[in-house]
Amino acid sequence: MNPEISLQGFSLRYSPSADWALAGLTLSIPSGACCAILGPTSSGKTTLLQTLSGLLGKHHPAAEARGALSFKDREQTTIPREMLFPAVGMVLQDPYVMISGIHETVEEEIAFTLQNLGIPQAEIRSRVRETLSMLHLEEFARRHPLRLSGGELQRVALASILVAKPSVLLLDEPRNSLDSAGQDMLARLLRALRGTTTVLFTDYDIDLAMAAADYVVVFDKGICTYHGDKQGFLENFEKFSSILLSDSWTRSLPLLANTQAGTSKISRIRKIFGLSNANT
Amino acid sequence: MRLETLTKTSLVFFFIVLSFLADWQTNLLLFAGFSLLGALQIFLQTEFISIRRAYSRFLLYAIAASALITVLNGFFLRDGDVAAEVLGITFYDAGLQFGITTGARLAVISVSLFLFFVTTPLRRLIQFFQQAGLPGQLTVILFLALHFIGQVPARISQIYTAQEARGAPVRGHAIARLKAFLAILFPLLLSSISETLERGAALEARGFRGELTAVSTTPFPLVSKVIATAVFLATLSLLAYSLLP
Repeated sequence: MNPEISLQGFSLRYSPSADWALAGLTLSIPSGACCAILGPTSSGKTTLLQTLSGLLGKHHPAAEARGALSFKDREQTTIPREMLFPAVGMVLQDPYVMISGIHETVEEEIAFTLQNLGIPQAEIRSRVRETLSMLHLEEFARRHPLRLSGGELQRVALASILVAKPSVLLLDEPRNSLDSAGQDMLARLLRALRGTTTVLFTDYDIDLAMAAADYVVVFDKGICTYHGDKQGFLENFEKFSSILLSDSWTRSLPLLANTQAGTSKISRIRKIFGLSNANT
Repeated sequence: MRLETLTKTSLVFFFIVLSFLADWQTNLLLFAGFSLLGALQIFLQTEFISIRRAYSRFLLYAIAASALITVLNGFFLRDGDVAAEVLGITFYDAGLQFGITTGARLAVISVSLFLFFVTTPLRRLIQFFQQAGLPGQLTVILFLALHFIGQVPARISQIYTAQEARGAPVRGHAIARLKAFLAILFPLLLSSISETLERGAALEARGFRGELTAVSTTPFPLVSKVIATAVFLATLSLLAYSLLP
């Protein structure tokens, strides 16, 4: 598969006097793949997504980059200085700010994105219906968006971008606010988008990555410490344990056990974390 | 009865002008009338359930503020005859007169503005700005500012609840509330500004280019235009009548 997004020795800083927020990234994301960008807080995950969406370049004119960044359908010699929507859609971390506040129902709120793009009304109606169904939001269609729970709002925020059918979908910590049922739904959705939409999502935990991603990128202080498929990540996960070490790893053990490579690694994980058999 | 935003705007303008020209008795009557009309609208229609408590509080604070203005003026403006002596404190006629005139005027202005904003959803207000021909960028700035103002009370309540959960006496007497409010004022402003910036970024992330195309920009309805013109002419006539010798 052709890479949808390719970075070659890509570095970025917010101003010429600032430290590099991203340093020497070399990675390529195949078209239609689902890629998890893992790493602790302030490791550069959101910076990468904002760069790819055009948000960072537009709002930080002093930001400078080295190396190359390119999209499949777009030759990009430097960081994009304009929003690339609808080709590249980004859902920000806080779902609350994704809601415009102008509209009184969820379906109107989702339609707002397409109205901004000047899409005809008949097509808007059918695409909104399709998106509501995809995210199981039909029962909330007539509700006021700001009266929904955090998890429901997260789904509306996702719907508000997905309705534009971007070829690249960027999700900044999409698990936030979602309960376990919501996370399962998100994992199913990401798997369903495989092959048609290139998805990059950030996370500080590995649960969703294990459930839905084909590729994993591990960030630490702006440096990419791993880039490859999930299998390779599992083979080498000890290297990243100091970066991603958290309770999430122990919670992820049952999930790892369900993956092909995971079973053979369980004993090594137990050894690393000093866990007994009963814990898993 | 649902009034168009243009009609409501012209009426609010008329009553604000009237409050400066009328005597305090008329202003008090207007305030009572508006309060009653507002109560009928807010307490009889289910769409206003969420603001019923806020409306009751608003009326209470408006009456308290007007009374305070009257009393303070009566005490500090020592002109004219002595009107009353309460607990050894002397109140003067001219001061009380000035105080009650100012208090009643402020009550009318605040209740009319309050009713305008609570009965006009943000979407209709944005539509009104666009219909009035305001540039798209300015409309968006106004939208973000109004959204920001609208969210501040909810955010204050959230912070108070969080502080209360930590044992802080934030819902005690007035002084405790004021101290708690001053403590959160700066972080509240910073976080609200940051949220407004994020909301702007999110709008851009959804393809927004500075024009709220999603909001209808059809011209003002003819009836609204006729009413607004009539109210505007009435306001001008009132001004002319009061200013002419």
